[in-house]
Amino acid sequence: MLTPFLVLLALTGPALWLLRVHRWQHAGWLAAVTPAVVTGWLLAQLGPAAQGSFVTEQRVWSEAFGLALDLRLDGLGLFFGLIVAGMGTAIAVYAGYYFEKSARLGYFYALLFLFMTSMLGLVSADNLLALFVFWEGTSITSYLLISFKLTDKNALEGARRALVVTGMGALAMLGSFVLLGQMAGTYSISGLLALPAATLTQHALFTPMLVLVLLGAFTKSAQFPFHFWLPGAMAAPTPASAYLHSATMVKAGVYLLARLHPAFAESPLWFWALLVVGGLTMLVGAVIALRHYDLKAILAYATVSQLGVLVMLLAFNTKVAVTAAVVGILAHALYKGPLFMVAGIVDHATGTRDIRKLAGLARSLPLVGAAAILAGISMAGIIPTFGFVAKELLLENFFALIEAGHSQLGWAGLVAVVITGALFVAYSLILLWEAFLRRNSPLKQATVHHAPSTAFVLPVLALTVVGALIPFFFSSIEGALFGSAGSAILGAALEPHLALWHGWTPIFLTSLLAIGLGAVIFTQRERIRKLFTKAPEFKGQAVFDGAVDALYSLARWSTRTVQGSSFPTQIGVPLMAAAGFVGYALSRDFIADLRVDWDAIPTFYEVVLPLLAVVAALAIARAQSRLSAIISLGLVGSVVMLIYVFFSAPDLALTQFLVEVLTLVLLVLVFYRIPYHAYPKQPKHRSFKYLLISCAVGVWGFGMALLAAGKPLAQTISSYFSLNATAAHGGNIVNVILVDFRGFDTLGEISVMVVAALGGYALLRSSRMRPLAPKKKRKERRNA
Amino acid sequence: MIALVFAGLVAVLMACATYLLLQRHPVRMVIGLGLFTHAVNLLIFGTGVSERGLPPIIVDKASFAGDISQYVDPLPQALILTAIVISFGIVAFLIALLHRRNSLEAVESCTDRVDDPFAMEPAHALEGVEEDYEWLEDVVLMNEINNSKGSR
Repeated sequence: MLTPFLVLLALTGPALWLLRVHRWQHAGWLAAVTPAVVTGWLLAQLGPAAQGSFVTEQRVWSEAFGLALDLRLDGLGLFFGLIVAGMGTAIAVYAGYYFEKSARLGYFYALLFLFMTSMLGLVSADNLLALFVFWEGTSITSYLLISFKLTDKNALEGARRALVVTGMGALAMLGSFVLLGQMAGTYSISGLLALPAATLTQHALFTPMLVLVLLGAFTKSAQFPFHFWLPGAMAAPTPASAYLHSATMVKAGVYLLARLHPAFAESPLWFWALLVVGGLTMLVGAVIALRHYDLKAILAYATVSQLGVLVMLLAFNTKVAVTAAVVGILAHALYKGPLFMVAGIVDHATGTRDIRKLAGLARSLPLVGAAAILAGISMAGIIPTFGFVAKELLLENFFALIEAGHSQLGWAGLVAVVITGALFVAYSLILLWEAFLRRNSPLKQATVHHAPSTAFVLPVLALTVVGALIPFFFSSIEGALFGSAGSAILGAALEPHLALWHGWTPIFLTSLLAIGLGAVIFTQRERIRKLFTKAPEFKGQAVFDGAVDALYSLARWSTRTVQGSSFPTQIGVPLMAAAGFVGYALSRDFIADLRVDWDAIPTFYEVVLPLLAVVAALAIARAQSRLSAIISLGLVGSVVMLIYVFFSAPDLALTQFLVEVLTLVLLVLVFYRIPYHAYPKQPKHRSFKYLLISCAVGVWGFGMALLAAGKPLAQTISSYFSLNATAAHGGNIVNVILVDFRGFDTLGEISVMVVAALGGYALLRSSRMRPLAPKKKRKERRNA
Repeated sequence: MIALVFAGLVAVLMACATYLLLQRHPVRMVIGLGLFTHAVNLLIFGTGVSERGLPPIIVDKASFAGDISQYVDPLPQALILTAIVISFGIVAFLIALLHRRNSLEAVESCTDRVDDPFAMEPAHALEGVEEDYEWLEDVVLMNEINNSKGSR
């Protein structure tokens, strides 16, 4: 059933586009039908999945290469699939109102649904290569969605950055998949995970493979130092930001790590890489979020921070950590998505997302305010929300670490988490207070000029309410939802026991401490912001742009050098390459073949004539007038013709003679009509360079000629032609070769002549142009 | 010995041809190309010059009994025959192109930066049936945009 659903999803978007849905008042609800159906179907799979019966499908594509579309929805896939489809339903409705009859709604839906297909395929793929294809599908749709606003330069650059960063990561990941396939002997993910972990971790290639996997996951999930692309991606339309860049796509990296967790978690490299990178990202994201005023930028950095938390949790191979990760993923999707959507509605209603211009929105937009507050306290992790549970688990992980005897690591982690938690609280409060609750804004307050309809807010509210209700129904869903997903990550059975209230435990007290600290930061926010304006900022973006620019300059430099704008450089490089490389190869491998046959004595004329040609050629090179050059060329041609005569090639001599005369006539005719125009003299050094190139080419020609005259390097087929010429009813062997044995070559030659003749005729005949038009007129027209 | 003479001739022709091709002057370029063809043809011809013989023409077809040692190698000749004709086509086309260029610009001009003999700015020189050359405008505009990007 899964493949049909994927196809259906992929087709829905383009179908909506073709139907021109933007003309309909409530298009969003129609668009939401397909993802809603998929969500329902996925929900129905939860029960069987908890029992251990998974949906699996296989569509073989190329057996020889091990390419098959293997789909397998285990607990983890189902968990992510539910987020994708469920959030997708809400986003589909939301986007219908967000774009509000804009003609590009259909295009947006097409991209959105293609993305949804890729993402759903990604989380259900059971083949590494299929996973990679879907992975790239999400990258490309993400690129197109970020650059949705084609006139916005920031959007285009942000899109390019996102694509290049995630694309490079994906390439690294593809390399790791190939290595992994070689190491495991299979591309099937379930087959890979079924192997004993030591087969992989003890393999010689394990470390490079793991590094490549991590590169892929870290770039996709915006981990430090690749995090800069995610805030840049916020130029996307808000529905896309809410969906791709907070809830789903950026979690693909986390998904990959979770997916491979059972196989790799024993490796110390895995542990330290995830712990350090995740922890750094967590702190960096949380701190930078404070310095921004744009609603979406704050949320983007908060997302970076949360992704860091998830990556850090996956470093551990314990039940607590895995539970915390799973709960964190869902909780984050259910509060960050709505918050983004709220930001979109605020932008829509007031025309700005700058928090300094906003105030009191809770009064003017009560429904939006309610949704924002509900989601905001979840982000802050204040009891009794889903976010609170997630944070408790996160803290519990480090307490467990301390209890297990790793006290240094545990304490360090605990401190980092408390700081991050406090920052989460702080910017949640800032967001809620400044945008929704306070009465006056520091800058000129933006007014609500375009109040959203209730239906616009409905999907946001629905998501927040689901998020708010989940903690109260833990006992009935924890096994099916978190348990089976966690088991897939852990590679062992996991039975989480979640609860909102554990009593006055140290964990709860620490949580309170974080909230208290956050409140302090909140009250001191102006001072902190002032500090930030002075502090230097790490500009990953600038580094990246610098690298890209450097690459462009390198390309420009090499193109200029190798290809150049001028004809001499264009021709000089290949000639030098021929002279250099071929000359080197000749002198190394064929030096023995460069023998001179001293016995074949030339006659007197055969020495004098070439000498004449040499003199004539030198005369051309030094010729001052065109006419003398043309005459000298004729002289060379005549000598060549005579050489053909002396060496028994009458056909060649005849042809050469005709061609020589024709060329001469043409040259004289044309150059007679072209007024002579003296060219500025070449600078000395350039003349010298050209002279050197010429000499090198000459030496190369000398070697080639000697080689050609020597012993044949391969068997010749000349005798075949000679012996069979009479069978082809011809006496002139050369002619028989041309018109019979190699007739098609001659046909090709004739075609070349026809093309040249037609081209020349067209050039000479089309006289519909007059030279030297006034420049002014053209300029006027261009401006108009 | 003959091979040496041939090789020397080929070497000088090639060197001179290359030198001419590297000049900016379009006329010299065309002549250089013609010279280069001669060099390459002689290079191919050189494969069969060591052994002398009759022209590869079987005069008496009826009594031909497979005695081919008296003839020179016909294969290089066949190759060169094709080469001569094709290179003539190219040279002729180049000459037509030169003529055309001249009729457009009246004078061969050349700036220091663009020293491609066929480089010209056609859009500045064109008028006439304008819609025929709309596309050229786009090309020129694109070039300008690229140039401004490059200089940035």
